[in-house]
Amino acid sequence: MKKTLRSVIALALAFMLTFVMGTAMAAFPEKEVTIVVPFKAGGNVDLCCRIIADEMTRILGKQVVVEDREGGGAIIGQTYALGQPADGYTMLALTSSFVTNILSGDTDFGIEDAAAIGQFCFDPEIVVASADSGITNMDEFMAAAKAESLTNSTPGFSTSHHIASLIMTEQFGLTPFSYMHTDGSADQVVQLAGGHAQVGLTTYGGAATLIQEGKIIPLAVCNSERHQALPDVPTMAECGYDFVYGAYRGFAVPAGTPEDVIGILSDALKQAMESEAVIKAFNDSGFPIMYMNAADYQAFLATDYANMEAIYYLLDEE
Amino acid sequence: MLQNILAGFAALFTWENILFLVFGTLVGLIIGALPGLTGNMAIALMVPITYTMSATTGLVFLTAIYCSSIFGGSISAILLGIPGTISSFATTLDGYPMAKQGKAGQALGISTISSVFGGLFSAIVLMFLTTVLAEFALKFGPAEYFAVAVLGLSCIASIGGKSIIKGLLSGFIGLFFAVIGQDPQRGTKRFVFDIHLLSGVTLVAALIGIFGVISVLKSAEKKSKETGPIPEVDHVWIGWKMCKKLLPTWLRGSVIGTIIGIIPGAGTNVATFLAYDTENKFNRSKPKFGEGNPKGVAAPEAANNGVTGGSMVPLLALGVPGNATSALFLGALLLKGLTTGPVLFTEHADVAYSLFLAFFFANIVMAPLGLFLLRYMKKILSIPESLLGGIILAFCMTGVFSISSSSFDVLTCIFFGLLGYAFYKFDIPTAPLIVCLVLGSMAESNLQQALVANKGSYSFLWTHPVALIVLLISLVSFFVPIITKMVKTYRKTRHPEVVAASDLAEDTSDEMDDD
Repeated sequence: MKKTLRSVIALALAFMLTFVMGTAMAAFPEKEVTIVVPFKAGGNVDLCCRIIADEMTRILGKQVVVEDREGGGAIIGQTYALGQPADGYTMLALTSSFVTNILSGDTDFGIEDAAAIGQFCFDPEIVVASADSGITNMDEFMAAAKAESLTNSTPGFSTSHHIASLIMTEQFGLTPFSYMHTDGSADQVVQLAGGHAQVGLTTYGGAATLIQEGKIIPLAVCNSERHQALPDVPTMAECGYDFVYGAYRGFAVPAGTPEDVIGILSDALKQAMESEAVIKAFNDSGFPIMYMNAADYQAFLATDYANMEAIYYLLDEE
Repeated sequence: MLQNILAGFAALFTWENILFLVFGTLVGLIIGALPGLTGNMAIALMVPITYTMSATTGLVFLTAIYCSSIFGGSISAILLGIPGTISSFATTLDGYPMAKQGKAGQALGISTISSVFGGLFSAIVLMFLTTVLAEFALKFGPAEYFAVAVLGLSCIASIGGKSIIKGLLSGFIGLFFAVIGQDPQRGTKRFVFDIHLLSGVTLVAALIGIFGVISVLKSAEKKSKETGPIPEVDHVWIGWKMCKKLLPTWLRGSVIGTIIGIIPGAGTNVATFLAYDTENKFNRSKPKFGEGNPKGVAAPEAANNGVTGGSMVPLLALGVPGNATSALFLGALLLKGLTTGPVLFTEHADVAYSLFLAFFFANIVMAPLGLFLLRYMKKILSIPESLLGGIILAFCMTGVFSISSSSFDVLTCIFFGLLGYAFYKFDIPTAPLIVCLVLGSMAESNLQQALVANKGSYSFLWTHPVALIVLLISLVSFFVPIITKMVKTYRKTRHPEVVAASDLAEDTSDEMDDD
């Protein structure tokens, strides 16, 4: 009897506690939360954000909407989002371009103006070769790339794929590539599949079909583990080269946003990334999920900034 | 094959799908008709809505929006002289003059039937030839893209109006504006005074400025002097006779549109320029192109809807989107767990074939729906111009702002509106400017890439057969109209009376030829 009473009291207390915590949490958000995507609607980042926004709406109990503000190499959207009040109602979809844009000197904001919420996706670079190039593995790639200047197709100047190629050249002492900067990843893979360029670095999603068709040959994955869609393709480390690089995607808010608000958003992102709906949609779309909490993502950004700063002169030399 | 088509039919014909087919067509028509709002935008917004639908329903819905928004663009092009999207720019050149001559109904009718024809043509190609033609898409390297861009640019010679000098002037100003932004290969910033110009001038904003703002200024100017009569509007149905006459134009337009559509990244715009220019060069009937010739509406409209099906060929067969819109389709397919490529045809044949059929039926639904709606839409013209001007301006500015919620785009629009007005005052044609602005960066970027691939040598100009042939055609296409014009001016100054007589003879024979 006593035992039952005690458990009833415990239960009631637990209930009250959740209730109190619940109301405390309900303070934020009071209205809709906007995710600013500094890229075109329908692109990879936009697609990811729309999937997550849907789930976060369910978790936060208030509408989470996606707003695309493209242009200016993502600077326009980034400037806009970071210029909003630091109240957590405007989040920026933050990608590697944030760091490179700051280094380009064109931005009014610095790395300290963004407070991280968390990372949700890390899309590793995959080293690929055109089937026409005759290169079929990483050793052949390195030998060829050291011997002569290979044509390298990228989806644009200073994109993460271009920068990854530059770092690789520096790190492994390759003959600088002859870059063909196309207009987006669709053009890039066509040039490779058609044999108009020899090699390139790309992410899995855009090249999936052409890889399955055998027109583009994946040589190695620039990650610490193999790509789940390409179980037979070795990592760079397995080939004997220490090289990890990829496109990362996460959220940030203007610096000065209250810690508890950042906590709520960060937790909501974590929950969303663990939900079945998001996992399925990400897997189906070929976006690899990699969650990182606010503190880790902030530290990651700082490291990336330092790394990029060290090699940024390579872009200027181009 | 037949079995797959039947499976596609079975998957397509449910109440839900038909409902969304009609609804999508309506949405596309209206979005397409509003200046600045594009089908692309509509589809991007609708993709998340398709999450909850079955794969087939979602794709049917998006397909309907895609096809009808391309057609919808012609409505404002014809009625208001403002291309709703760049792909209906060429339609403006003859569609608007036709509307001013009281033939708005006829122009809209032609645009409807031409769009349907082009759309059906490309749907059939998509259904039967996808796997064969996909390989063709991969043959295009930078050298070939450069050649296609040059071919597009060569049309400025014939759409440049009466004066060669003024046409070229307009073209070069367009090329200058195309230079603004980051160098595609080196990243050097060129004329970037504001961060908004980093990726170049926003094309749609410039286009709406040149056509929208200027048309308001023109009518304001006229209003202060006289009150023009309200143009009459005739029937939308164009009659079988006209259909028969336009059939060759439709076929050429559809073929051009479908081929350009299949080449990834070449774009709807090039297709419409080329289709318009081809008809212009082969045309022998009056009135002249640019003065309200029905073929000038039929060719680009057949071509831009021809692109719709064509752009899906590389997407379905290779997983490579042919243009921005089909990139959105790729997203929608992936979210449904469907992969592109041959696997789609074998493992998900019902979805693949119902998509083909959706392209087919979206175009069929478009005809009655379009003709029905246009009976009412053409009434826009009965609004007095002085009132209409303000409304148009408001629509244009809202549309431009909605591209990326940027007030800089609105400024761009106003700037190009004033520039267009200056052009108008000095009697300089604006069409070459638009063509060069749209194609300039494509030509530049691909030329640079081709040079990189060839280790800095220009030899690719004659070692790539496709590029060589296309470039030779461009030369002919550029110089023939210029030489003809020069010969005509020369003859006019030497023997005015002979030329007048021969012109008259030409006129009468054309009249007879017409009816």
